[in-house]
Amino acid sequence: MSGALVRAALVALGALEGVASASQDSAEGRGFLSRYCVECHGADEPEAGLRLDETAFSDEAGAPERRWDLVGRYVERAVMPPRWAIDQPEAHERETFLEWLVSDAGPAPSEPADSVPLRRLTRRELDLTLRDVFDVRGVELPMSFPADPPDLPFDTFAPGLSVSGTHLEALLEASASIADRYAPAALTPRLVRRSRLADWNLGSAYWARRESRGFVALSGINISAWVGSLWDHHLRAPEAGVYRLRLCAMADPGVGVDGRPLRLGLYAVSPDDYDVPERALRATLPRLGELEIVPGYPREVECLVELEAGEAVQVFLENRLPSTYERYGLNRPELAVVLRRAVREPAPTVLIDALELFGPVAHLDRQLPFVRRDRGVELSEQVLQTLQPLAERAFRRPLTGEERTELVETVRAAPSYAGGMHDAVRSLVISLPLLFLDSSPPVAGEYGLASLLAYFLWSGPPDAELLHLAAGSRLSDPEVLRQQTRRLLAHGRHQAFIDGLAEQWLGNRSVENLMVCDVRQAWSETLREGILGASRAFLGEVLDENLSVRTLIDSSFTYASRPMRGVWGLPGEYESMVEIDARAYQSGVLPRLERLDLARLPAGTPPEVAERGGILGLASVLAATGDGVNSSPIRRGVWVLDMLLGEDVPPPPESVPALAPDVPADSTRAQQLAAHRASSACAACHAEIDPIGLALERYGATGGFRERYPLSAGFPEGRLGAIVEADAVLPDGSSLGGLRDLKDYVMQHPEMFTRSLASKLYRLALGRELTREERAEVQALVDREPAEGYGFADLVVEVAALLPGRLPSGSGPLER
Amino acid sequence: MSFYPPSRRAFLLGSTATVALPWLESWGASKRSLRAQVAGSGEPTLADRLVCVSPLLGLHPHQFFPGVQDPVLRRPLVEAGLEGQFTTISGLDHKGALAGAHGLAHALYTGTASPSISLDQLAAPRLGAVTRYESLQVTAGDSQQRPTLSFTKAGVALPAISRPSELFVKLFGAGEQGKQREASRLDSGTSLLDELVGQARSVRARVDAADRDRLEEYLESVRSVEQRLARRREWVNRERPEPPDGFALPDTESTDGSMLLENADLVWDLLTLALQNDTTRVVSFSIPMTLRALKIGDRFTSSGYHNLTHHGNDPARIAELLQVESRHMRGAARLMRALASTPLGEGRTLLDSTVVLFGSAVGDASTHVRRNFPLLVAGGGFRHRGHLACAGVEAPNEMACDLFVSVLHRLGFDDESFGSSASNLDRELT
Repeated sequence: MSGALVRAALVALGALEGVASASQDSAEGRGFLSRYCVECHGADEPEAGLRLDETAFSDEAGAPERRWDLVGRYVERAVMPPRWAIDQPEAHERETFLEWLVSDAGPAPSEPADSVPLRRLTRRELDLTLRDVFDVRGVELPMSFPADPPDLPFDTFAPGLSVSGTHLEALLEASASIADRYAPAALTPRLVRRSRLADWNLGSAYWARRESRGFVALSGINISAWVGSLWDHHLRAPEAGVYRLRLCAMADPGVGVDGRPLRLGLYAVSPDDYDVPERALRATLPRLGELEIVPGYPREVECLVELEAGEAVQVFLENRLPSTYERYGLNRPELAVVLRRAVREPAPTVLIDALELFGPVAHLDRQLPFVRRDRGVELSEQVLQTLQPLAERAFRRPLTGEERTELVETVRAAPSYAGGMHDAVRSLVISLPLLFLDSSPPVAGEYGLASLLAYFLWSGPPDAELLHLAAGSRLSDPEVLRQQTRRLLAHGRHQAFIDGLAEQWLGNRSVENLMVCDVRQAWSETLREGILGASRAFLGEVLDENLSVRTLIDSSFTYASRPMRGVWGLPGEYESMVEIDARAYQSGVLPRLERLDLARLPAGTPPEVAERGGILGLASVLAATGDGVNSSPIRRGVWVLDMLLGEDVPPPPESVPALAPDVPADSTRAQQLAAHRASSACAACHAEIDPIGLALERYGATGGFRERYPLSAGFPEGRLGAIVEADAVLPDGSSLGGLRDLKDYVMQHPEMFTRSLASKLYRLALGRELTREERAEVQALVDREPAEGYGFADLVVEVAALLPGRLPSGSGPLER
Repeated sequence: MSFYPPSRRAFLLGSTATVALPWLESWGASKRSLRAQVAGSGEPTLADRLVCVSPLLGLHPHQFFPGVQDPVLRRPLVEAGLEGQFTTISGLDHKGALAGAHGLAHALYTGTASPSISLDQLAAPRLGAVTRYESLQVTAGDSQQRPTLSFTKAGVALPAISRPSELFVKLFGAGEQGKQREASRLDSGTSLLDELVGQARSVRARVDAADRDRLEEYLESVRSVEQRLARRREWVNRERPEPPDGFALPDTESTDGSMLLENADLVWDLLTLALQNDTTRVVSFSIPMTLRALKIGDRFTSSGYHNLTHHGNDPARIAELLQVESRHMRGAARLMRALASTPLGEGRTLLDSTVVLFGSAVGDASTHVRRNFPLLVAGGGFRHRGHLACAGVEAPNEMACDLFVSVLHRLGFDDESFGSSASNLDRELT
């Protein structure tokens, strides 16, 4: 370890700032351990299963990667030795020990390799990659691709990203369906459907219609403002291509609200999306064309439509309503007037008698080079011209000569050109370079950096600009890299980064799956959505506005949806949860998130709402640490230590009984926890966990404020639950009286928070735990932090700037 | 299980039965496939099929175990004339393993909180070697939680088929055109896999040891997929059974949670057909949890399925919950009845050679008790006596996995342990 790193590490531990390294005699460090630690952490039933005697230094110890880190933090924060130990080290002894711990003479923890591990993309990354590379409607990873294991520090951690036969089989399935979209089997046009509508059983509630004289009439109005068909399976394209749609229809009366002839818009819908309200959201549907329908008698009209495999054609009566009134606008009062008038007047109506879908009659433009062999050029030339751009996006780098040859050979070996191209596209989808994030030399070079950065901030593949910079070996230039990081953060795709952090750091993933099975908790689906959205919006604002990372600890603003405001007790009239849910379900619109200025809350707001600033006030964080029924002070304490202060709290040893989850009426949570801490097996860790958790006790299992506990089921009604006590003392003597104090406490140790956050970001980007050297890099970042704290975006930029150092040096770009 | 005195467990006998034959029974399986089954089973007395079912929201325990007069949830079994063919078991669970309120619902057949292999997947390679599908994982529509029950050795959760129509195609195919398409896809897929081996080798040459391990795992998976494709290829041209006359899927399909019961009914029938036709011998079926209200008869339940499980001892809500859960039991009874009516020759029925497990890792959903799982084992040639009461909390060494060890023994495995098992129930059940 270099001198600079040792110094950085010393500063890290708050020891001997500016003093040249003192004695680093190994005997001193080991002496500390044997004097203060080994009595409990020795060979004989070591506490928490942690041995700190001589065996801890042997290779067989099988040390968890971060064990010595944890020992350092505990000694630094005077959590260890425990307070009840009579023999306490002096401050200078602690400092010397900490110094020794990170020195060359100190224990060598088993380090992860310092390269970026080869890892498979996460499910989300793979899905986004396929959609980006094969940019065709309906391309997605099939459901049969297993979900990633939920319990890793971050989804990107390589050890959790196994590739089983099930994964590959799902990818093979995806490869065939994607290849069909580019190089379908020979064109066999056929009649998909010809039918009189009177024969169909059309029972959907999502279209306005009436049957009359064997016609289906598109008319009237319904709640979704969808005046059109949703006949799902009846007009489905079996494969991608151009289809002929023929309609026998008439208008009655003949003009729409705009005074022009009635028009039927044609839209593509994928009936496999079962989210019916979404389907009716016309603005999001691909528009295929338009047919004008004239009055008089039923006449045949036809047009060509381009459909992807599995899509169905739906029609929509375009000028039934003024076009400004989209679905969802129907809740607006001014529209009620329009609707009332519309009901009185003769409604513009299209009557459909019969229709027919025939095809595919031609290939889509996209498909032509994949299915039609151009005899004017060499086979290899056509194959590469067609496939290479696709392959380079899929691999996130240029192809090697070998890979190019292989593509050509795949096509050459097939009995037909189109069949060969089909195979070649499939080979790209299932290929290892697509599935794996590979930054090993010499293939990846700077392209590895481009991918690393893009998957870090977008959860998706790098775009052309990043690849272009990589091609010129300019991306690792510190200035360029910083610029690019900022560009990526400003791009809409960075929402994946925010969502990922909200899910994996702020508890959104737990809240998504939280089953609130308790009538004593205020809960509804719109409340859930609000809680999830509030965390994303809060994180998004701090990042997008580049606010100080201190804002994450405490802020003068937060976000809340209407149901959340009701639960928090902000003044106003609120409907019941059931009404809010019903309205959201009918209209398809979730209650909007509003930004709350905590310094200027309306009069009558309960005082505790003003404390909601920062991530500790986010309902997702508070709810995620419970199980939907009970809040858990212990899990909250662990969360704060782990997620805010960067302490990796070990799981309780096997021998320790779990705290009974139900609260007996005659003992308070504080008393229970005190009993818990009285057991010496628990005391050490819980001396720190419990007070932090207790400070958050005034927040219930779903993140709402409470002054009393809910009563256990079965108690007589009218009896009140016990009053919540939230006073606690930390091992270092600081006392906490609630959320406010806890935030102040974290604010007093801003460097710990920054260190924790930077290390999280770094770990997320690398997909593994940090090495000692990398921890020192993080510490150096912390040391350089401006007094007001890094801007969040600035910190991300700083962390991204570390990435080139993790990639093998001297690996230039590939020759093309 | 010699260290438990037999007095700790008591056998109870169910009450007398009336028999109502379900319509599936009359379908049976074709003679051809049944002959194949008899020829394929080596040891006639052992069971060689396994069905693992779990309603993820549990079953109301007071009407599942004997104890009250004529328990509501046992009626469908009795009415189907299944007495003597099933045993419910009380007092067993996964003990220490705790997670959030519904956290362990999917871990019934693994027995551990950490991802590990599930019972069906352990049995599948051997039992399923002779059928079109080594195993099938099924659920019924959308779920609020991950609806999977099946896990591989590496802890990968196997996604379950959630649409009855997809299951239908698995069983009966997609016509001649679908067959050709599948054959050509499998052929090209197999040759494409060869390229992956080359790709992995070239990467392996330039990465460190941990990465090399990951590539080894990858190559192993490639090899396993090759075997799966070869197997599928072999089956492509084999004749598929026809769906029985009168059996058709409804015109529209919805996976919305509110359609849970309708979808589950279809799944029960399709699984029955899969077993009768010998399309697969290993099945897991999770009856998912949903927040939506369900349709009973022509009206919807007064609140969502999940809410109903938190009935607060309100008799009206319990009655509604029991209507929902009775549908699950009727589905199970219909499957068992149909298997029991399918002769395998030598006086045995398909149910005799199929171990049907039905239970939940939720002891009582109303209070999130994760003790005393409702468990039922049927068929498989076990010695069934209606009910087996294990000691429950007083016996910390009696685990739900003990039952699974005995199931493995019944299926011809000689494993002495599985998941969190402490022993087995061989003495009680055989």
